[in-house]
Amino acid sequence: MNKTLLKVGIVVVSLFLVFSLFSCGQKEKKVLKVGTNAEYPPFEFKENDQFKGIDMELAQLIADKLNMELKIHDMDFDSLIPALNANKVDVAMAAITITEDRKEQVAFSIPYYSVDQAIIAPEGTDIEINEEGDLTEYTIGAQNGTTGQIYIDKNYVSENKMKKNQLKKYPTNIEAITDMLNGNIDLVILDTSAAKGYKEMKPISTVYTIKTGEKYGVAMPKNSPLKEKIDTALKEILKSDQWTNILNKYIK
Amino acid sequence: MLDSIVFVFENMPLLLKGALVAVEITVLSILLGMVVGLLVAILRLYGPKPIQKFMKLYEWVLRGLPILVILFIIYFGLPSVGLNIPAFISAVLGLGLRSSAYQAQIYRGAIQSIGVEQVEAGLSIGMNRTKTMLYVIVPQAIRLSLPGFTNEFTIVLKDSPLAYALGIAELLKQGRNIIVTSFKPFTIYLTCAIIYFLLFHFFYYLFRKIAEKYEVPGYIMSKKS
Amino acid sequence: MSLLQLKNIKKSFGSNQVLDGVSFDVTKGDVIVIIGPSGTGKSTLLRCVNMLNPPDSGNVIVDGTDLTQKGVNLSKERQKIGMVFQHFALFTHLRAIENVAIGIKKVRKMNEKEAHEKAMYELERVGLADHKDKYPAELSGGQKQRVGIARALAMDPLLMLFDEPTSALDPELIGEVLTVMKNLAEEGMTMLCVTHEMGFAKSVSNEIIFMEEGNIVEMGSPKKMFENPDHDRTQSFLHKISELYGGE
Repeated sequence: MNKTLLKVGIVVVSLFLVFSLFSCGQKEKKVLKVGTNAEYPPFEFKENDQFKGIDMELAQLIADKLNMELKIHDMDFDSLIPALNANKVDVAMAAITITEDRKEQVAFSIPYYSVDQAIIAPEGTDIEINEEGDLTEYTIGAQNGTTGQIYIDKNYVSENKMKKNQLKKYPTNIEAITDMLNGNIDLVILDTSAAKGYKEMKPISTVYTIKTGEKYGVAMPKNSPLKEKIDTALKEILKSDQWTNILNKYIK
Repeated sequence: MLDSIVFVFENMPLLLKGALVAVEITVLSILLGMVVGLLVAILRLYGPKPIQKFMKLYEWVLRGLPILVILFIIYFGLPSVGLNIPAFISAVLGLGLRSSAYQAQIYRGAIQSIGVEQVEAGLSIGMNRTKTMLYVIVPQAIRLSLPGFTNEFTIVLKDSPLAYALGIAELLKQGRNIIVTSFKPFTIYLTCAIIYFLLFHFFYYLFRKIAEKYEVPGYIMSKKS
Repeated sequence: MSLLQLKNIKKSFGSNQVLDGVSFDVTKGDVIVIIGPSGTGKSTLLRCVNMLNPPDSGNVIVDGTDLTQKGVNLSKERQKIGMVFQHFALFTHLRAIENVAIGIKKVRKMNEKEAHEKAMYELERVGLADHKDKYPAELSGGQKQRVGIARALAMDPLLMLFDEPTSALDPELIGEVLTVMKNLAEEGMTMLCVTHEMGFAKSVSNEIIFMEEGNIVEMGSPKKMFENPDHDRTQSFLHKISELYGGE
């Protein structure tokens, strides 16, 4: 019995590896591989195992314009840039803010969306933020790796205006907001677009907006051959009715 | 409370889909680990000295690295030397090769605990080394390895969620996809935990049954003996 | 014609010279008992015969083939030599009958049915047909050893080596094993035994070899060795052994 099991095992594994490596090389049809982190409504999320959201629909429009087939690769947010550099995906669309730091590692398309940073608190809170500096009195949560988290780290924690433990980092905004509603932290910092989405689901309100004017861009490897085409496509799409419809669909 | 149950029920198909992926990854990784692990164990025990040393190094490296690091090296690192391996295979390779290092230890221990007299008896009736390995050592080693192997299986099962870092839609990732649109982290995480728990016990029970079936008086393989 | 020729066998373990030039011949039908103090290389000598512990120098010629030469197919040659171990060395995961049959099945490539028949024949020969389905853990020491003998016999060897076959047995179980060995000898099997059982030596063997410190001190018929040995050491050793292990 044991020998047979072993033999079966070897055969199964070998076949599997052979097949997969085979299919690996056959995807030479023009496919646009888009990396994303589908845990960020309204830009990318999954409903009934389908990809939905502003970025996802934009990706389809871009693929159509480029006459390519769209394939979405869902992964950890932090894995997106390594994935770009390892050619696992051609571009990454995940509400990625264009920053100088990121520009050192990847290239960006022209911007396609603009956001600020919202500071939110539970609805009916006593907390009043009249000017940005008031933040230092509170504990604030953020999704790890986001511009909001980096903003607080750079401008407050590193400057010793806030203690390290006043900024709590979470895998996603969901955990941050849940912790806030449970009373473990006071505030959460996140993109205004995301805040709008969550207000529909939970009793939260915005107590302050930091006008960062940051912009989302499509990330791609430096020297990507697709950059020009994507920029051209974006320029057309951003002027179109389709784009307005998408925005209205997801952001009320 | 009732809402929560209904909600879980509605999302069960997606979660179960993820659970199936988790099981697939686990089974394939364990099989890979078994094949490579046995090879490493045998080479380390009976191979030429340089090979023995190499096998020792192999075990040492793979047991000393966190799984995520191994997965990332395979998935993100190898492309820089021209090897582009898809996510699912990277996960199986990563989990499997790491498991092979632990399984090699299990098999080596099992083989070593079989007295050298068993080999001598095999040789004395005219078996060559290969036959002695196949008919005397391996059947005994497998029985002795079962407890350790069962343990390793459950460990790999519990490590399978790490495949989520490579974007594989296994159980935990499916859970997270549901959480971000429903805002019910506790309910979903709890459900995932229960599913993992049930899977764990299912396989544990399965291996116990196998051990009992192939039990031989003189070896303690399951609680029954 | 000699079935076995040992020529100037030398073996050392580290700095310990265990065998220091041992030579003798074994003719078909011989039943030879090797005796001597512990650690004197008796078991080592036996294990040189089937090359489990190859000698450092010297020749081991079995049925005309020198096993110490390069290029000899040891697996093939070992089928001519059966070995019975002090601690039985039964395959723990196999039933008694499977233990006996596995050699002829896997090495001789006999089919299932024939192998089964042959195995049963050997088990009956040692008086254990009723226990064919028992696992070694379920057998007594004496039964285990008899299965060990049956396993060796299944290969139809020309020569049987017995390495202290009863030393690990409780006293009341020794008899059943010695009986089997005696029957084998009477059937004409060539046997080389390392043992302390002097009763067996006296009544069954036709030659006794006394070894000490890696060398053969003296060898001869039981009558000679017991009643009129050439060396004092032989006499004193045999005397001591007979007292301890019984001379009848």
